[in-house]
Parts: sequence; structure tokens; C-alpha cells
Amino acid sequence: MILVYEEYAVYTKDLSVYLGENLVLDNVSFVLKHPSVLIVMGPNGAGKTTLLRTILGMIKRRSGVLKVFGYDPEKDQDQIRRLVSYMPQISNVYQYIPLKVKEIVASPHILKVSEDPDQVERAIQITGLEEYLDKYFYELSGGYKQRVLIARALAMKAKLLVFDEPLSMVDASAREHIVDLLFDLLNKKEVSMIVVSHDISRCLRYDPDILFLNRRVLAYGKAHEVLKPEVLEKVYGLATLNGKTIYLGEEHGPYH
Amino acid sequence: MDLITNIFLDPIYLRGLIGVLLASVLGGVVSLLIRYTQTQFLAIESLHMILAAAATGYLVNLFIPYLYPEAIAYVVMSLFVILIVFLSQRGYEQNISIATIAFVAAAISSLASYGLAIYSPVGPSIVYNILFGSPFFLREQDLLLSFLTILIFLGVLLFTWKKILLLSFDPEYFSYMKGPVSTLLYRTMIYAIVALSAVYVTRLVGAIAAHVLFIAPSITPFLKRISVVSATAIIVLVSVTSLILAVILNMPYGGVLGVLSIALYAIPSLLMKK
Repeated sequence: MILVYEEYAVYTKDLSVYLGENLVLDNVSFVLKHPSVLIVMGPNGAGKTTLLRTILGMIKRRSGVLKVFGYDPEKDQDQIRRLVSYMPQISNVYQYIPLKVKEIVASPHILKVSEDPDQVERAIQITGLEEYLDKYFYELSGGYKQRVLIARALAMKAKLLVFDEPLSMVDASAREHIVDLLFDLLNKKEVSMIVVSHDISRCLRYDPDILFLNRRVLAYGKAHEVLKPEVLEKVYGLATLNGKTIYLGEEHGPYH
Repeated sequence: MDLITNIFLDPIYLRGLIGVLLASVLGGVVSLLIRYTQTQFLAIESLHMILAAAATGYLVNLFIPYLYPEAIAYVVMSLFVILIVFLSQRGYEQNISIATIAFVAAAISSLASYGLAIYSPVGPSIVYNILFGSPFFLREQDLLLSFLTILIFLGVLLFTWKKILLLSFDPEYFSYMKGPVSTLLYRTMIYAIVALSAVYVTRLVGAIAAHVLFIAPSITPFLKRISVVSATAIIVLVSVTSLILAVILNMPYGGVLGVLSIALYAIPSLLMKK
């Protein structure tokens, strides 16, 4: 059988990544067909952000196969930047910069990576930011800040969206809205997504693929297949007792 | 009243006023750059390194008169920036890299100041001049050169301002979008602007006043809530008022600027809730 990498948004096999001398990802294998969504979960320091950064070509792998739409992220950086849009964690953002919402959303154009102004307009409409364009970022609530960063990711005509904790620092109603927004994009068959998130309760009705990671892949499959007490216990030290989830203690790894 | 009129008519006072105005415009913009890029430590250490760069410039000029002291100072500061970036690229933390080069600069400034004192009859006054400046003794060609220099600095900042802000806003995103080489170039450019503008401002008003011009606005919370143009206008106004008060009160400009900055920037900031 001939493997056609282009059919996959992401194809990994036995992917291993070191940060310095430390093994952070150990023989990670999974595929993401296009279009579909993968939610990456795991305890703090499990290597989730390292996995994203490797997929983006920002970190070099030590061994294994990694293809993004058939391209090697380390060698084909220009193609990867055109095809993959990235939203880092909001905790990386220094908020007190005098940048207006419209300037942040238009970042791909200011940085001359994308030249499609219609896509910026569309991103603003999808995320419902029309009334906030002239506001400074630091004036917005947590939910709207996340929306701005999502809009910036959508302002490029990418085929794969990579989101690192898009639901952090937002309240429950804003989380609901953001999840609906992301899955609406998927339902339109426009994009594939990889989302790192600790909170998947609002995603369950979409039954996405889930990858449980703690340096190695601990479980991988549809949500209804992998969200089982024995898997959660393996990943987080969680178990159920008389139908209630109890916390057994979480093993933290040193890496993100 | 006559004294205030004199400031605008007397050529010596007027040259001082223009010198302070030029230093304040660039100092104001750079202090906002320092705030947004969170490079306060680099800025403070640049103003320490400038002692080494300026003293080396004057010392070399003693032996090779056609080498202009300021040009040598710019070269020395550029070397310091390159070394900081080199150490950062080798994996050292940014502040450790800056501190390492700062103590190398301390050794150089001590040796160069000693050399000036030994070999030049006006050596001590040169060192005093580097520290405290002499805006009233600027020559017309100095002001013209300063004007051209400020145009270059502001031109570079104007051209790259938005990208610098986007880099400071989200370094991870910028690094992905522009790639590691371009990100390194932008970071180096920010370091270079902060370090080289320290040469410029020190030449006009001295290293002590340059500290106040660079640092006081960069740590003032209320300036971050207004536009860059408005914030720069306030900084320039405070600086020029300090010069006029210095003349009226017969006090050094740097000292008056320091006191006024404490009153206008530090006290309101301390009174404001975080």
C-alpha cells in the first residue's frame, strides 16, 4: 500500500523530540485526516505545546516521521506558514501594548505572510468583533481577548488551525461560544484543527478525536471510546467511585 | 522674565534648548520602546556601557585625531550589542547576557577614564562631561549632526514600529510567522536602537539625565494608556520645562529633570492603584 501523506493534515509515526538532553516526546504516533479535529489532552508538562511547536517546525525532532499536508515542517517552512495558522497560549501575550483589535487581527498582513484582506474581514465577522475593532486589546474581557487571537489565526487562509489552550482565562459562557465557533468552522469542511485543552466538556457533543499525551501517547481515538475511567486514571490519576469522579493525584512532567 | 526671554534669544541658551529638545524627542520615543519591549534592564545597562564607549572614543581620539569620538562610541556600543546577542544565542538568559557585557564595559570604562586622566590635560573634565553633559556648550555642527542622527533613528522606528509592537505583544506568534532569523534580526535591532540612542542622548545631555529621560517614562503606568505621540509630547514638555527651571534656579538640568520626573511620574504612579 502506498501512503499518500497529502491526505493527512498531520501524519506522525514514532516521533521523538528532545529539549536539550531531555526526552519530551517519546515515539508519538497519530494521524489527523483532513478535515477533522484532534483535541490533545494531558497533565501539565506532558509535552502538549512541544508537540504543537514540532508540528509547526519550531522545534526539531530527533527521530520519526512528521508530515503536514505532505510537507516536512523543518524543511518546508514557507509552505507550512501558508497552510498552518497558530494561536499560542494567551499567557505568552504581553497585553499592555498599544495595539488595537484591528491591528492584531491583521497581523499576518502587517508581517507580510498573507495578503488577503477579505480573509481579515471574514475572520472579524466569524468571531463577532465588528464593534471592537478600535478598542485596545487590554480593554477587552478574557473571552474577547481569546476571540481576537482566534480571529488573528483565521485571518490567513490556512487549512490547519493549531490552538494552544484557546479556552483558558475565559468564563463558562465565553467557552461555550468559542467551542461552537471552532466546531462551526469544522462543520463547514473548511479546516482541520488541533486544539490543546484541559476542558473538553463542551466539546463532547461533537465527539472529536482525542489524544491523551504524557510524553508518550496514552490513549488515542474518538471521545466516546477513550473517555473511560481506566484511561483517565492512567493519565490524571482520576477514577470513579459510585459513579462520582475522584482525584487520585496528578503526575506532573517537567515540559510543556 | 528677562531670563526666560534670554533662553529663547541668547545663542548659548538657545543651543542648550535645541539640544535638550532633540534629546527629549528621541529619549521620549525610545523610553516608550523600552516600556513596550520590556528592555528596562538593557536601557539602564546601556547607560552604564556608554561610559566605556564614550571614554574609549575620547581616548582613541587623543592618539588618532581624525577618528571622531562619537563614531568610536557608536562602534563600541554596537560591539556590546553584538556580544549580548551572541551570548543570548548561546543559550544565556537575556539579563545574564546584558549583565556580563555590562561588567566587561565597567572594566573598559575604568581603564579608559584612567587613560584619559593620564594622557589628556582635560581628561577629568571629559569624564565629567560624559556623566553630566553640557547642553549649553553644544556647537552648531553638533546640533546639525544630532538633527540628522535623530532623523535616522526616528525613520527606522517609524518604518518598523508596528512590527516591533507585534513582536513584543506575542513573541511566540511572531517567531512562527517570521521565522527564527527574522525574529533575531528584529530583536537585535531593538537592542541596537536602545543602546545607540544612549550614545546620542548622552552626547546631548549627559549620562545622568539620559537615565531619567529613558527610564522614568518607561516605568510610568499612566503613559501606557495614551498614544505614543501624546506620551512623547508630555516627556518633551517635562524635559524642556526642566531646562528652563534649571536656568532660572541656576541648577543642573539633570538634577531638575530628576526631581520633576519624580513629582510627575513616580508620585502619581505610586498613588495609583495597581
